[in-house]
Amino acid sequence: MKILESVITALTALRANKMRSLLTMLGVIIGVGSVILLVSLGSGARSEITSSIQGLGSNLIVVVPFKMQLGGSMMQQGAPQFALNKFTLKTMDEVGKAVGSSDMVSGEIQRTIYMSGDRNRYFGMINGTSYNEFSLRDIQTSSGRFFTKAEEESARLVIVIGQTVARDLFGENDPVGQYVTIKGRKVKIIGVQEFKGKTLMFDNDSISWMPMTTAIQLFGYSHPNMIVVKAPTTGSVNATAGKIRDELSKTLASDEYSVITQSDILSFAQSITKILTYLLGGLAGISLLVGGIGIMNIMLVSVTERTREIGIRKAVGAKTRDIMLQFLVEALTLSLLGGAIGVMLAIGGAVLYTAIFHLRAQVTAWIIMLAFVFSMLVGIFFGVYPARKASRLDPIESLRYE
Amino acid sequence: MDAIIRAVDLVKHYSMGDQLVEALRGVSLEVLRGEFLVIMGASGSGKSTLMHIMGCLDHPTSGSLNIDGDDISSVSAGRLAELRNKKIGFVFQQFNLLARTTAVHNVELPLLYAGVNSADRRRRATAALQRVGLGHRLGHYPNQLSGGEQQRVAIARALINDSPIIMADEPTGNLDTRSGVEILNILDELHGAGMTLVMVTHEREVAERGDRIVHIRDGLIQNGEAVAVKAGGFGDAAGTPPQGGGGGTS
Repeated sequence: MKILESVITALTALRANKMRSLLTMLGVIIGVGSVILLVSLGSGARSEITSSIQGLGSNLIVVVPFKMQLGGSMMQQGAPQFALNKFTLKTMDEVGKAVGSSDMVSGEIQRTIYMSGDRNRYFGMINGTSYNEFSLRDIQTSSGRFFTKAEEESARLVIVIGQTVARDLFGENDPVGQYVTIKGRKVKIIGVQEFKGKTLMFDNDSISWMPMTTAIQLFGYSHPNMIVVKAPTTGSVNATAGKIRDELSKTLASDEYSVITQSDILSFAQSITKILTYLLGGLAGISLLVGGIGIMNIMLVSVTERTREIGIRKAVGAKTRDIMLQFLVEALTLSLLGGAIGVMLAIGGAVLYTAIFHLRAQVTAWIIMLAFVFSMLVGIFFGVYPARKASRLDPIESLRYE
Repeated sequence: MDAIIRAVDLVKHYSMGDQLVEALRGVSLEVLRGEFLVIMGASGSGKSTLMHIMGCLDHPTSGSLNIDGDDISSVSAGRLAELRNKKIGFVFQQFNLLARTTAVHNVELPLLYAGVNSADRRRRATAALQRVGLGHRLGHYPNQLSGGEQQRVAIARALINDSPIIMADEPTGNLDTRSGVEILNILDELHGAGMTLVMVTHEREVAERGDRIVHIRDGLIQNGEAVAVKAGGFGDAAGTPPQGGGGGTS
């Protein structure tokens, strides 16, 4: 008997038992669907993190007031100890000296605090920075402007707010020129940051920016949480980072600062998201395995139920090989069809996920291929045993079977 | 007339639980080409086992069996399947049609395993069904057909691959008298057209349709008819006539 005939015979048998075939496939559908969907979410998160880190600019160097070992595990590192923050405004000067120009250095003093508009209050992060923060980080304003060096030096009560802050406090009205009240002080809104969107679950538009000098006065706190440096060229990033380390080691202990380049962060973030992706894929893989066992179970039941059919086929000349092929093709058809439906559901799920959560889900061709090949292997692996069992039935015993 | 089936000293043992059943205890039998042979016996006499072995569904424990030139005792399972496909057509008491499969597809089945293409299969299956008077029932499922019609589908299936031998195991056992007579008439017709028929039955009336009757009891052939053939009685005249019903021990 030809392969094509086996396929037709198998399809006919599956069609004769539509409900059962569907339920059997369900295991594979869910397995393949969840493998593809979860891996897509994982790799989507990865590419999102990568691009948002790359968005920082490849020349960017970040100096933080604690020991950060990006190669090691998160557990070793522990939570950043802000209480021990030894950075001061002088530290910024030292970094500026190391780089050769304080124009390429900006500090950040962050506080999460209430801002009151006319009617509403907004609880969000305020980033007190140098006047050059936006140009170093390549951020634009969508309306108004960023504060100037003069405004920073004279500690003016001005603020640039994010899109989410603007919408929550002022609705559709243009907030530029209006005031917000922070710790009882009226602060003038001079600009709105361009729309940045979300990175994973963090809303980049919930941040507001004010001169560091103003922030120090408002918060009564003058230790920068972070110092941002822009190296002259991409090629000089590592050399610049080295100079900063040398300079800071004169005044700070080795566990009181870290100098991190964009490529450090990138490789660290990628190693974490890679683990995440494998973990998700592995979990989903288990459900695919369970789906495969479901196929085997149903095929075994089917062999018993169809003992008489097998006997009849053998009596009219079916060989062991023919019966084997028929049952194997049935198992394969179930797993491949289930795989195909799973792929479609996963793509649909990814689209839905993106639409609802505004997070990227990356459905790649290779993961579809992988899931498909895997579901085929599941079909073969779990189909062979029932098929062998069917093909070895004794024709007379089978014909007598009631 | 040459023998199309030649069985010599067939023994079949099988175990049932921890009991050894001696189903056949040395059966020698020849079936002539074109003959209508009837095997009679009570249930448990070994008649079905004999038919299964002659029909290549089962291997004998010992003894030799030659079917249309092939020595069965020593062939592989694959070759046995081929012989069932090409040399033998089965008609069972239970009809044994595939449920949820139309009459015409049931009839096509042997050709499927013979590797015939689908257009030829359909054409030949239609012709075979017409031959048994079911040309108008091609697309019906077994559960839409009467018992007699189902058995006719089974006969069409047995005919389709031009097998020279038809093995009928109690073909009328599940049918009312009228349908039974119809089926026997069709079998008679096939016999008339030159096919070799081997039929197992325990009904005297049915058995008398045959050319010759052998009785089997406790795994052994009882009456002298088969013995006469074995002694060299074949090759004389066409179809050894049935020799009375004297030994009607059924």
